[in-house]
Amino acid sequence: MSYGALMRASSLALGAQLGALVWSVAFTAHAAEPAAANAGAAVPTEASASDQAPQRNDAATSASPTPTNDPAPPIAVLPTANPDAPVAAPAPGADAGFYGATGTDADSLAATTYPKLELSGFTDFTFAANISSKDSPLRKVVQAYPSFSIGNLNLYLSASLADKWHLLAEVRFLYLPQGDAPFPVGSGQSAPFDATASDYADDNRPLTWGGIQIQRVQIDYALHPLLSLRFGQWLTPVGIWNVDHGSPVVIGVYRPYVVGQGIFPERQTGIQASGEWNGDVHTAGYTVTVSNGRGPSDAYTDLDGNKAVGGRLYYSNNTFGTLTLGVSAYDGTYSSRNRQYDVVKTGSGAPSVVAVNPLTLRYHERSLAADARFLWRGLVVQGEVLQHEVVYQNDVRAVLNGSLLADYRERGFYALAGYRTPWLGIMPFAMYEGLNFASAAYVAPGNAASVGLNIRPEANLVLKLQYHVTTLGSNTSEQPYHGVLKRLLAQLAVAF
Amino acid sequence: MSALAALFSGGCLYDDEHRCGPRQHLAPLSSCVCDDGFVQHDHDCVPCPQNEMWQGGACVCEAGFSRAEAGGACHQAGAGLACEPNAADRTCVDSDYPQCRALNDRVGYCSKVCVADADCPHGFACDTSADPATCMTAASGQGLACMSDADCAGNDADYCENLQSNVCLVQGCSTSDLLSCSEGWSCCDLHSLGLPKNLCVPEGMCPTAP
Repeated sequence: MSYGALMRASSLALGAQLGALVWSVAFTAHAAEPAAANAGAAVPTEASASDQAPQRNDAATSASPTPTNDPAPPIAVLPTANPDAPVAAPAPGADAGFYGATGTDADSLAATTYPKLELSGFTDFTFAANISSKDSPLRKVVQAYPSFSIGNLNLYLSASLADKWHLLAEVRFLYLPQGDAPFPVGSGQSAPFDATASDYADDNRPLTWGGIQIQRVQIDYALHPLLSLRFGQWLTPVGIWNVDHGSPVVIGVYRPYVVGQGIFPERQTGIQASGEWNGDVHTAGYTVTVSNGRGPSDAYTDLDGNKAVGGRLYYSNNTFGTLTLGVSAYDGTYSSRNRQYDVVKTGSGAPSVVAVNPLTLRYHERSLAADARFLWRGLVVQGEVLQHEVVYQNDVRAVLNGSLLADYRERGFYALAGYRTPWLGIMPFAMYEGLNFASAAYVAPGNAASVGLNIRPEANLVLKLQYHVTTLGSNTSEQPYHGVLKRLLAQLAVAF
Repeated sequence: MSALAALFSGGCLYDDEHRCGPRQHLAPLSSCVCDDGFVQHDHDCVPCPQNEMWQGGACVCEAGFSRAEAGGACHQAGAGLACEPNAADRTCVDSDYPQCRALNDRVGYCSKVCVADADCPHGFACDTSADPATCMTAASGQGLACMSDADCAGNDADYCENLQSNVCLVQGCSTSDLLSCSEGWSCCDLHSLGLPKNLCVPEGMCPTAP
């Protein structure tokens, strides 16, 4: 197998296998999983990278687009590393000419031998209006004022480090925390966050700063199609839209409630092992994860001795269309501690620090999920069902508004169907979803139905229009967050 | 590995019948409230601390005890209780006896401002030499002449020392507790003299074994 095929297989198996509705393998590489970029150019499709696996395009032998059933036009060819490149050369610092006057030669050398950084990303522009009836309690709770927004501005940094080694990082640029006012628990009010500072570079005029969220930083080692390793912080391989989370690949304006509810950790820090087997019409793959689990600082600290474990199995069949089935699981312990040191005298009388670090919150959690997707020509039918069980350690239960919280089991699902027509890439779609909101004690169980259009006039440009109706509980629900929420949503999402 | 085994064993963590911890029961909005007899302390339900009793979901001070401040511990209330004269926080929790009358820099007892003995409770007398005048300990009957215990009956000083001084004295004091005798008196251990008692005697008058 060529390097390109190997890299592609590894990237597919490692992360992109969960991607939904990507336009192509290359698009996945570009907009949602740049690790796959080495596969070369491709054509948009509703299939995820994993679904493409059985028909994947070996860039080493062909630069033609991946076969697709999507009528939309292809996206531009992305800058990619040479898939058949030899083992990476020494680091730039070893070659003085790399930085020296012989820039032309150095650039030429770097272009062929040194790791190259590739940038790509996505962004979205959204309009949301709450059109609930005036007697709905949710009328002024969720998106109370019709607003325009830039939701995501995510940048991918991708580099082939050496033969079989690849780096991918993703960061999201945020306007937050400026203006964020947390939801009050029960009655009360919360003031919006003021992130205004004096800009010393502009005569101390007011400047509003925003944040950066590191979405993932992962280093991949493609040892074999049946075994690849991923180190770092990665998106949890679960379901369809957690790894492939870019707004251009999500059909609706927002991901379904159950996908964004944190039933599985959105990302973890640790190690993944994965692999994929490909037959003529069958593809099967696995991922096993070990991580810090969840915690207040899980990106860099595990505040307990228990490593979280998880995994995913999937199977895909191309006999008629592409049917993909997957199951995922996760088991871990969330721990939060204060830092506390005491100073005691030892036997010799010398003072000694004793770390106490009392627990302030701990729970054991277990998550299970199953997903299915069927693609045939322009048709896409997909659904996921997820469950999350949380059992608190009794002396450190969570407290909300002064009350101890009970153990809970959160469950939810969604089902979506759409059909990409040949006309301007218009896809009418409908979705139905449900979630018991067990993790949100003040929110009543609910369901939602939506219809909309996902229009892709250009390969890397998506316009979405959606009418979304959520029903939370009833007028007699004990949870204060109940009622009917009706929204009009529109979004322009682009990959670049 | 155990976690991995548990993960794929299919066992459920969650028990719908037992969503709360020990000493707790389920309440609306998926909250856990403490069983009767227990109160919430941080993230857990615990019994009421010493000198407190459970009442209607909260801990209240037992009779004779009170709090100096909301949320504080319950301390015994009344005059004569130990206090710290120079403490930053108020240590006399009984609002009827808020003054800490000092015996020395470190030890005092709770008292109140008075004008005459009638303003002070039993066992106390108004020390008008102090400014302001406060109630000072003064065991009743202490120093009265007697021939037998019968002459001292009904007083705080109910022991008649009829070997030498023939006066009523307070018995059962503690030599380690400055407050166990009235001001100007100190506790004397007479065991070494063959009298198995501790008695309050005027300061400096405790006899020693020959």
